[in-house]
Amino acid sequence: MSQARLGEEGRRSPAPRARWNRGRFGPPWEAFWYIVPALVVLSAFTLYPVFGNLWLSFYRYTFAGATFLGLAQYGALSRDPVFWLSLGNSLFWVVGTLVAQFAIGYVLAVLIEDHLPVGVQVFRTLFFLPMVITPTVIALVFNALLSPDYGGVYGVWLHVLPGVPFPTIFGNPNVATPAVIAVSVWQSTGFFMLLYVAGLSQIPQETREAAYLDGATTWGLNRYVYIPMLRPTHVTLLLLGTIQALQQFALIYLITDMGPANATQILGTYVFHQGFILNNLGYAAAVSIVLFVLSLVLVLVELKLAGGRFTIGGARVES
Amino acid sequence: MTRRRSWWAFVVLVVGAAVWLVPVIYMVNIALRTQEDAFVPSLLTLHPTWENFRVVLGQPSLPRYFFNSLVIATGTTVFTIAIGASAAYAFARMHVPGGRALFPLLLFQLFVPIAALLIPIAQLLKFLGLVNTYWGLIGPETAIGVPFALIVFRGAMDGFPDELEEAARIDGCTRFAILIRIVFPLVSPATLVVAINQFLYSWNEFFLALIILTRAGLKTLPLAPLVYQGDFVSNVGELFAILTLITIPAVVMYALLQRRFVEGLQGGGIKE
Repeated sequence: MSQARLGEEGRRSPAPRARWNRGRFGPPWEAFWYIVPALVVLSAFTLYPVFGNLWLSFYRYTFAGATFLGLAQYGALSRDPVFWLSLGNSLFWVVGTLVAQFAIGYVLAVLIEDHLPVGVQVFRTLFFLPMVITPTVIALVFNALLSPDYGGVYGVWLHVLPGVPFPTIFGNPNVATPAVIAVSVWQSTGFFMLLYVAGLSQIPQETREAAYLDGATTWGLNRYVYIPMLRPTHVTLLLLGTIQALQQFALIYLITDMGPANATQILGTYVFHQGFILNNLGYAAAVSIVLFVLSLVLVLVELKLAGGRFTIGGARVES
Repeated sequence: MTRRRSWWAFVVLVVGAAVWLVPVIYMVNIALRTQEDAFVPSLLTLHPTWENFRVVLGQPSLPRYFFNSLVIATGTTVFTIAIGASAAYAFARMHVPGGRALFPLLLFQLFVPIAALLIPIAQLLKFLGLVNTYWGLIGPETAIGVPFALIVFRGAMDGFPDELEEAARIDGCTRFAILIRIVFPLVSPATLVVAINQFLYSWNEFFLALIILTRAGLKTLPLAPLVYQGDFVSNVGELFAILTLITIPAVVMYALLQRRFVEGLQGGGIKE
């Protein structure tokens, strides 16, 4: 992305460009052949499932067949305490992971790009490392690390705080959700760092020089130059981070198995729990619809607040 | 002095990275322990041994999981690139009737959690007879990857100079030939970003694999520890040797490609 593409005013509009190929070369419907494959996978695995869930949520499925229930499934949801717990936990996941990942990811990126004298590539790779590790491996390692009878952290605890009982972490309903969130933050912060690294590297050197000439401190440079200029990156991370939090499954399933007593259940895991363990397909579909609507509302609100513009890999997307 | 480099930052980051990587170091360390040491509560062992790796590498089923993961991850990466690049080409370089509405629609998947689509996807795959097949995973994973590919490829192709295409057209190239021979090779930084992203996503995908691959011979690496967990209850060292072996290929691949991945994310493409 060149400098001109960073600022809003620098954006080239496609209209005045010599579009020799627009409709003048081949038939006008030719473009569709290039889009059809994308439309097919989208229809099969995104559009159809949304409507499929809506349909399923009106029925109850048993071995005897399907019974039409209308909206009764949603009525049952509203009286289900586990559903409300899952909804609350989902929102907690969104807020918790976003706050931590934004803060740590940004600080790491600035430290690495602006202040580190040597080893920029090495540190970028080290902090990104958890992103490439399989969630199954992460879950087993953290369970072992925090195990109250043989874990590595327990070993350190014995030396530092002898005599003080080691706390139960993943088995304690009050701290299990924040603890799994922390594991997720550990895994995903590298992604936030990397996108900020990519964003920072596009801020031209002259901007930094000008800021320092004007007597800006490191704090001032970050607060009044970097943070406003990185706006497209903030928006991208806000959107992707929200969905990432809402679709967490592996870590919760593998570390706490949604327990103790549903304490770590979120909407995504509850869909699995109802649909694939208890076989309540219609009920699980109703939970899916709630999750779908929640994602849509959050993303639309975020887009609205952000002015509807974000960027990935030099591409700008407007809505 | 434009950037305020200091050794303080170095010290902070070294300490930070050391703490950040404790779980990884711990994993490798458990894998290097003797059976007696495995349950000793400590972060590091003083008696490392390769014994666990020797035992685990003799496991006949482990190469099978690697193979399954490789087939699925390679398959979905190829399809994601092909489908994403061709759709992006149409949006960037051709007149798409209704394109203003169609493009956001195609990005829609990016903002829907997979759990919200899971049950109909499972039913559809069952209906198509794709449960317990490679295609059963390649299909939905490709659908999940296409929107990201579409954005990245479009970003690279929007800024592509018209002159190159025009010259090719005068030389008698068809539109498809222009895409394959001229545009696609020139957007390779974007291709690399999509490839790394999609390959890593697929390599580590757990949720769909758990539901769609139930037959032992078809399972992918993320499911492997669950299979072994029962067999190695008494020997954590061997289980962690497997975890380490699963982790190595993705880490090595990423470490080798990370510089170009970051460059690609910065949008290094052909610009006018």
